[in-house]
Amino acid sequence: MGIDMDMHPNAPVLLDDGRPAGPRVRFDGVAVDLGGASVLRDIDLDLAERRIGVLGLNGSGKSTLGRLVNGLVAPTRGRVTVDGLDTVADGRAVRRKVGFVFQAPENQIVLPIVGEDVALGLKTLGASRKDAAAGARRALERFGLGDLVDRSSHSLSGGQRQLVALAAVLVMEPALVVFDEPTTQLDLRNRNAVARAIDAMDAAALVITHDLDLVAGYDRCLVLEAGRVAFDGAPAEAVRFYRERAA
Amino acid sequence: MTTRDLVLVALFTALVVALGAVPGIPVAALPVPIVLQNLGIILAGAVLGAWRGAAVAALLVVLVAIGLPVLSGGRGGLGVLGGPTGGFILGWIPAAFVTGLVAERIAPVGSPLGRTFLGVGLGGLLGGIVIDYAAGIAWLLAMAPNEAGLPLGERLAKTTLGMAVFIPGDLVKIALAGVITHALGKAYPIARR
Amino acid sequence: MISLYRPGATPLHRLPAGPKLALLSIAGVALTVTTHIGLLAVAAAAAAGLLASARPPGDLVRGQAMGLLWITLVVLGLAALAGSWRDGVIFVFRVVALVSLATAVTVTTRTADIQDLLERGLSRLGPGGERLAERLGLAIALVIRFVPELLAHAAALDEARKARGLKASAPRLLIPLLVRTLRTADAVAEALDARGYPGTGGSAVAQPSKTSGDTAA
Repeated sequence: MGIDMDMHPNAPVLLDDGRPAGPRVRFDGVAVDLGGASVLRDIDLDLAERRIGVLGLNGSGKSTLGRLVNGLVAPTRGRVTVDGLDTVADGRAVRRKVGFVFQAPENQIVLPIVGEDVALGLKTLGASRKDAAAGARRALERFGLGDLVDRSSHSLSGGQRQLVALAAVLVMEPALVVFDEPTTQLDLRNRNAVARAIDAMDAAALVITHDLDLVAGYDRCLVLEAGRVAFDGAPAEAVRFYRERAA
Repeated sequence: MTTRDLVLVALFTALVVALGAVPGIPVAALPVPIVLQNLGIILAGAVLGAWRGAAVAALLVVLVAIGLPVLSGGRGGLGVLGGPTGGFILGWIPAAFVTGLVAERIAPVGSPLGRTFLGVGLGGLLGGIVIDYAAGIAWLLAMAPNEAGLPLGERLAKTTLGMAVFIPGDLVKIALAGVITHALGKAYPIARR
Repeated sequence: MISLYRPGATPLHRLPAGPKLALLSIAGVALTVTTHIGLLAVAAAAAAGLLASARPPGDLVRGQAMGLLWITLVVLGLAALAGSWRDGVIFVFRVVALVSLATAVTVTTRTADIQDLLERGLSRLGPGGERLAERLGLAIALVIRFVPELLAHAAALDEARKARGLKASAPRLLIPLLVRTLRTADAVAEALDARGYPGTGGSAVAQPSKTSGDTAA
């Protein structure tokens, strides 16, 4: 019996031009209960697109879905894998592949000096102090934030914080970045800067958001409703579906 | 120690440092406003539990030692630890520990107000007053000369009497710690450790 | 947070942190056992001169002195009751010498240098000590990072209180500030986990068999 590569659950998904798309994230019969309440139910997904949006009302389970992908939340039932790695059993390896940008960047920037914070991820990957500092500087310069390297983290504006948090994640070269409402706290200019930064990333992105314009050009879009996937398809239809349901 | 324990201890220490910088709060029963910093130490034990509470106080001592102005009034540095009041600062470590130990034995998280008040109150009295004052006064007496040859008991009694002016304020703080711990147990319960 | 260190080029600045702390410890013991008033007077004058040459911030010296005022009065009172003026004089000289010396060391030694010394000392205790040193470093950085955030939040709470015309009270400030502290701690721990920070692993994983207990409590 020959193996059909297309059917193999961990085979990389290729784009039309033969490049691999994002890492393969699979949800198999996943449910999550937190504090006695059911947050997610019956989730079966096979994701490999480079840009995936996730929409849903508050409390629909969006954030929990995102946290499952890099093992910050473990499934109560079922399992989640990234390129075949179990997010619970192989948590550390999964976190190397999957970065996470939180809604509140002030809690994500944990060290007092911006450059030190961006370097932290490189140090946990085993870089020397010097290499980590140099890598952090390069990562900030790539975002046009080079002049922030010696600034105090507390002094950053909201938009700068979100971009620094993103730089601190991208410096670790993840294959996929999960964004949990990355533009919710930002003004329009900073929102646009973050949207451009996401578009420019080499890494794949799973973007949880209330910002319907953000997902417009994406490859795929999910809509969550009361802990289930209520829609899965193209962004335009997903937005239309979401608008109808929210009306 | 998990990452979360480490972060809880660090953030609680940051809170205690911040409390040293906010202005004192007037209390009806007292002539001077109370400084909130050592209330933060009692709360560290009462809220986080014995071990993490003691770690908060120990981390604060390290910050003082490396020369950061983390104590109320912008004080800090080795002069504070090595000076005659250093024992009161170092005593915060066992004080937070004992407060946490007594509080968790008598009033587990989620206990009714009366019980939490009793647990944190007894813990605070034992840790924040008995133990911290014992450490502070022992340190002071080791540093104060006794050429006059007074017996130890008399020096102890008189010094304690001299330091007793701070006890009413401390009692108010311990009572506040009981009320606050109970309210926090409802608003954001965390297990003590 | 601004360190109490003041840059300069005095001999005390040039002396490495290790020897400086060792000398301070020896001086501390010597000053505590000496009861010779003449010696102590010389030591107090020399230490105060040393501190002055290091140009400490005026606020620090005032704060330090105010913090010692009451305890000095208590000891002087004790000496007076015992009828021993010598005890009072010895105490004052000793405290001036000791606190001036220790403050001079703090003012002339970079915070990072003392921290390095501490962490190197811990690292010598083996792998457990190394881990502790690394965690201590992170903990100190977290405190420095989040004190300004908590102060800003305390100021915002105070503003909201005034806007509602309420009187200042400790619970009114502390309960929301504590909730903020604990909530921030959870978010920061999660962010560190997400970035692969090597804790004991999976601290934020909320799973029935491996629950952290806190959220369920």
